[in-house]
Amino acid sequence: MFIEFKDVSFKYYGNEQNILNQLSFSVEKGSMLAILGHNGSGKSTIAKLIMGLLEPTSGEIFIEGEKLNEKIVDTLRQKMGIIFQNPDNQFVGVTVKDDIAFGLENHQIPRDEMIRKIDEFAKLVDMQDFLNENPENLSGGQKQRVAIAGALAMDTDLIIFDESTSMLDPKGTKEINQMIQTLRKNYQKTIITITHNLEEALNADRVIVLNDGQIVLDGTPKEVLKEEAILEASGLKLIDGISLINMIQNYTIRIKNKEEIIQALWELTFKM
Amino acid sequence: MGIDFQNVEFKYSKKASKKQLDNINLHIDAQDEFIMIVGHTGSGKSTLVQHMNGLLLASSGTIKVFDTNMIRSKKIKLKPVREHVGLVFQFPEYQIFESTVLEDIMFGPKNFGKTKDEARELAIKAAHLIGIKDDILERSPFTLSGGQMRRVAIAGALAIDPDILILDEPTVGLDPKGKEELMNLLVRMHEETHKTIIMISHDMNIVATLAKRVLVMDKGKLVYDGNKENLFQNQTFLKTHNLDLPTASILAMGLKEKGLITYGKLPLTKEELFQVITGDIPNE
Repeated sequence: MFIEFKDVSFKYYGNEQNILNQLSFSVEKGSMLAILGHNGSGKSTIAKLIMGLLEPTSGEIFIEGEKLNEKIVDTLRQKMGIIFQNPDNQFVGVTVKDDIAFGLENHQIPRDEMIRKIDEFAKLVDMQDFLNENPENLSGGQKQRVAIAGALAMDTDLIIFDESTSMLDPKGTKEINQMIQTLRKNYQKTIITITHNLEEALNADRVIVLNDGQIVLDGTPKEVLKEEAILEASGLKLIDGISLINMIQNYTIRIKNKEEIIQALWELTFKM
Repeated sequence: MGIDFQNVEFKYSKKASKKQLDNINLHIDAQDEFIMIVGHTGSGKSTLVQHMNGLLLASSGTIKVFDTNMIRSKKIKLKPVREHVGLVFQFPEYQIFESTVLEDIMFGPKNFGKTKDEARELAIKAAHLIGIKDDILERSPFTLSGGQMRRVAIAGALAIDPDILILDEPTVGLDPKGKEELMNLLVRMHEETHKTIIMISHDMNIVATLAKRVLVMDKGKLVYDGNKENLFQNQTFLKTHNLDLPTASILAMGLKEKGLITYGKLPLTKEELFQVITGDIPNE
């Protein structure tokens, strides 16, 4: 078990209302969890709690079996990387190379190995031709890719994607989503993606949907993403393919090849 | 009337080899158009619209915006241009600064010389047009949700009562419900006022549902100007210019490939695809 939330509630000091209300969920090592919710549903607060940037008002958070508290937060934080929404807010280096090197330097890695690793990670995120470029001159998608290479360089076990595609164009979004799959398969990273794009939850092992600080749905993508009424009530909208499946299932007149069409729509949606 | 581009070229400097806009010819009516501009990042979409209200001036060629010839001259008056053509940038809520919603929406008309009372009237009208309720007009804009703040910013541009409203990716960063609400409001506003709407978007599902006319930009050139049906039928063209299909079209092609459905015209929306699957009208 990589992360476990036990009855976690959170409210800001002096506020009446809880932002998160009695959340319990867990994330297995090497798995991918998608947290869905509309803007303001409290989903980004979860990321801040995991990173130890906020403390639960009540309840407990465990990271690899250890209870998250002030004493160990610095040690635990080294296991985590986060990719933020705004690609402009996360650079430390003046060149792409420096930025990736920053994480490696923190781990006191010998120079030869460092050069080899920078190349490896830059190649992985397809930024090997931009090593001497200033990150400021890159497109949004390229910036996010450099940030991912930075997280890899820090050798974190967990990478949190906090709305990290919401400012990107469709091409950038697709690239980041493909990269997430590579991080899982080839680097066995644990992934948490926080998003309001239902498409991004399709590849997760588990999906939770948040509304008003509470978990309203919890299950596999196939189970969760077809719950039209609850998703709508949570400010989200069905993916077109799944919406069509629901429309076909609710249609009372006979449809030719009905079951085959439904099956094919699932497959096509998951391939997208 | 409206906007006219003839052989328009734009470079950032005389010596630059790259043309940001390359031989653009275009006419946009002052009324009733609903145009969406697509093209991948860096194709010149934003540069194009910035020529429509004088934020940028052409390096060569001619642009006429209503009565104004947009030439590089000290005498050019941009004020009347901007009364005709309003432009809303990406993430416009970053530019909100007044202490109440109403004050923020009034800023534009006041800036264009309206009295306080006139500005207030225009602001309230604009707020209603874009679905801002009276009870939030006296609130601080910074207590609003992202979707509401964006509407306030759009109302600020509408309050000048432009004939043409240009929006650069108005739905980016909004959650699905915020996106849907904003698009519905823009469509309703367009239908009520007949204002021409020009919108930059990457979202082919929105293009497939709403566009009356689509402009495709690629490497500074206007490579397509026409309806969405013809655009999405032409697979080779879409591939050449790196454009995606709407989700429903991708699903339709997948189903057809498996021999599960047949159609003459490629469905562009979920509803059209449902019609093909059932041979009926969707019961929504």
